[in-house]
Amino acid sequence: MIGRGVNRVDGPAKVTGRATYAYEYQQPNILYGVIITATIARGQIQTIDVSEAKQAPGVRAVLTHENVPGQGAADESLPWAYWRAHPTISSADIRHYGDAVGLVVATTLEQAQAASLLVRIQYQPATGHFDLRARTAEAYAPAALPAGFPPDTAVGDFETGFDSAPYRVDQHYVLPWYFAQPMEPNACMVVPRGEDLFVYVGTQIVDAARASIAATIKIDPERIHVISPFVGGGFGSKLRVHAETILAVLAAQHLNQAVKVTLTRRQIVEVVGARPTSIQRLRLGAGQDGRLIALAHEAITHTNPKEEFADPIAVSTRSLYAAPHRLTRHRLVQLDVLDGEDVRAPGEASGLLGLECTMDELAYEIGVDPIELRIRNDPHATLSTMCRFQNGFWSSACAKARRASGGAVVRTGRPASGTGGGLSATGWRRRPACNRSWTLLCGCESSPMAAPPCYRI
Amino acid sequence: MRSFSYERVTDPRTACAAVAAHPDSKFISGGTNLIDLMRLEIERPTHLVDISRLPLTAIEELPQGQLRIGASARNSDVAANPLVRKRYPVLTEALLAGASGQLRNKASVGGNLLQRTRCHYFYDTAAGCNKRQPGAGCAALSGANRNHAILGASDACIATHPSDMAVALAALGATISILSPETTTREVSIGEFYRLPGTTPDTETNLAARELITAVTAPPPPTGGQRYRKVRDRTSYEFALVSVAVILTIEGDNTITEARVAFGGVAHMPWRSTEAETALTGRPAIPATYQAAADIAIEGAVGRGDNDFKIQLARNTLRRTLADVAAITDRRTS
Repeated sequence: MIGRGVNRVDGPAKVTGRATYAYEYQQPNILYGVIITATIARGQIQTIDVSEAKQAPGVRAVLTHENVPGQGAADESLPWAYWRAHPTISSADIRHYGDAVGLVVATTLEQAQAASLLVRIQYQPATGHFDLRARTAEAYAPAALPAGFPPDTAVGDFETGFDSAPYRVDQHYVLPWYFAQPMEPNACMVVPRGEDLFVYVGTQIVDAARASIAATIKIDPERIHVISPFVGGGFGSKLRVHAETILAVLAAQHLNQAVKVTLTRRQIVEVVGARPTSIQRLRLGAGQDGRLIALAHEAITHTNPKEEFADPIAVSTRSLYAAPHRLTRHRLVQLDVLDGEDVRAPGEASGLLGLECTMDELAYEIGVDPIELRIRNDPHATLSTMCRFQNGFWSSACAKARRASGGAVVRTGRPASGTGGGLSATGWRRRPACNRSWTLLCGCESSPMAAPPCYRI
Repeated sequence: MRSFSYERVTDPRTACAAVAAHPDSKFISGGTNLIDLMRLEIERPTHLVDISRLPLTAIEELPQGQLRIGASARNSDVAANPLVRKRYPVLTEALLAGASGQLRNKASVGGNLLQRTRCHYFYDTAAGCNKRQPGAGCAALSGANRNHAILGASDACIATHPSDMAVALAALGATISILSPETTTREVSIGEFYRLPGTTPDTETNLAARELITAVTAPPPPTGGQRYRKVRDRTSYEFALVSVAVILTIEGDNTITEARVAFGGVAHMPWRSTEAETALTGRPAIPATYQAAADIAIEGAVGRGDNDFKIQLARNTLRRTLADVAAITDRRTS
């Protein structure tokens, strides 16, 4: 199949509007839930008055931390957060602005929306920390990065190597938040049938959704049936389920009736985690011949105190360029802001931007073609990581890129054009193929990432 | 969304009377902004008067050569109109730079003029906003104010007007026809129609509650080139950080004899710069002239932190747009 254009089996259904996404499923007597989110950044709910909301037309239930059933705690020993319990509105604590604090369930969506604005909440705000730059002195090294990578690596003696290099670039790159905004906002419909719950949800990992729901509401995973023919766009935001799913499950159980809940566009940036802001320092030192002598990539990002998240920013750097003296370092700062989560190409999208821009700056310093600079730094010669390139692959890829860009990259009069290139590398751990195929009951043909997925390494 | 009653009217006078008869009522046309605001309960009308079917959709040339655009004309129809495209390309460019195809198919000319700011804090009912709730303070002053005003703002409000169309209309010197129940139709210029925020940012225009916009009239355009340039974070479906509408008339000896300049994204209203127009008129069409006009246009601009960059961006955008328009303008030989 490599090199051939292959049509997606579900393409026609998607482009003709016949694909059914999670929130589009219908059920008789369905109820609609609307999530209420916190309007302070840190503190506690002092009082939550739902009396007016409960009297509003069509309202069937208002769930808050005061009446929600007990939920399981996240099991930190599970290597991936997606499989862990995701307790929601389980306490009066507000961890970040936009934290879910309640769910209003009504006969129509409009009734639920109207009633959600009648819930009166008194907060006791607490002091928090929100500014990454102001807190860099508090940065700490995480025990490990996702997939067990070490936070720091060192080869040779970076400082000495860098100081001795005839050409040096020392640059900071600051990247803002990066949010996934999938085509279908995170949404879920739950239909209780007997002891079973049928969960219609767009998820990137069906098995993780089931495990997370079961662990949260503390029931046998066999009682949970996840129906997810279409992810509806994920970009990482649907690797795990969030408040929409847990609250739909809790409400459907509580009322023993079908309930659907969707995040609004705005709630996606309040309830779903995102790639945190990062401050990256890149130091590249090279000789007259354009070969790297020293390379350092240091990253500071933030994490919510409750669940540590470390974007593996400099991991790709470890295997991208050869240099006798190398250093990578990841540091975290605890901030009372939205949770960090994997967003499309975690680590690579953020880290390679910093590294590759700095490589372009180095090419400019030396006065060498930026693609030529990459060819001269073929990692094959010195790197012996798990991601070993085939000999010659690197140079031929660079040469191909140069041909595709119309020969040598030539600087034009405008500083913004013609001065740069960019390489990307991502590592994938190969696992035995999972020879299972599923015929989905609803008749849709699709294959959401099955468990276990091919983990990014 | 709060419950509301609804009626549909078929002639403009009845529309005014219908709104006058109900307290807390509002006109609805395309609804592309109002319905969003009602869902968030930022607008809470108890009665809606649907004016989308009023016979105000004509786009026609008047005997004196002006162009009259009915208030109910859809944005997409105005943009595609052959007369508009031929004689007022700056208006077509501005319209097509705004919103999305679907929204332009719904949005009316009158509604476009009256759309509310997209300031995040105006939409965030948990934040202080003097425009939404007079006296509540302005969270944007010390908040994320990258998109906010640099000209004509006040300590009560630094929101910007979001329309692209209105910026082109300001450069064209268009007037707005307003029907009120008590009087006959009155005409006001774009500059007279909008208000700066001052201490009452909740009052955005000089339109009274019962009045209805019936048309927009653009005088015959100056001869020469026209252009609308919009600078924004992404190239579609996004509001302007800075936009500029420019019209230039240039004589055979390269002297600018007439200039129109209006900015969007920088103020509480479309910001016509007569100062820049004066600085251009009678001067040669050369970069030094554009630079001088750009400097004078932005004189007195105040950044609020995140939006400091807009001051230089506005200068650059005007300078570049003037050069672009000069390049496409045939020199007039008299």
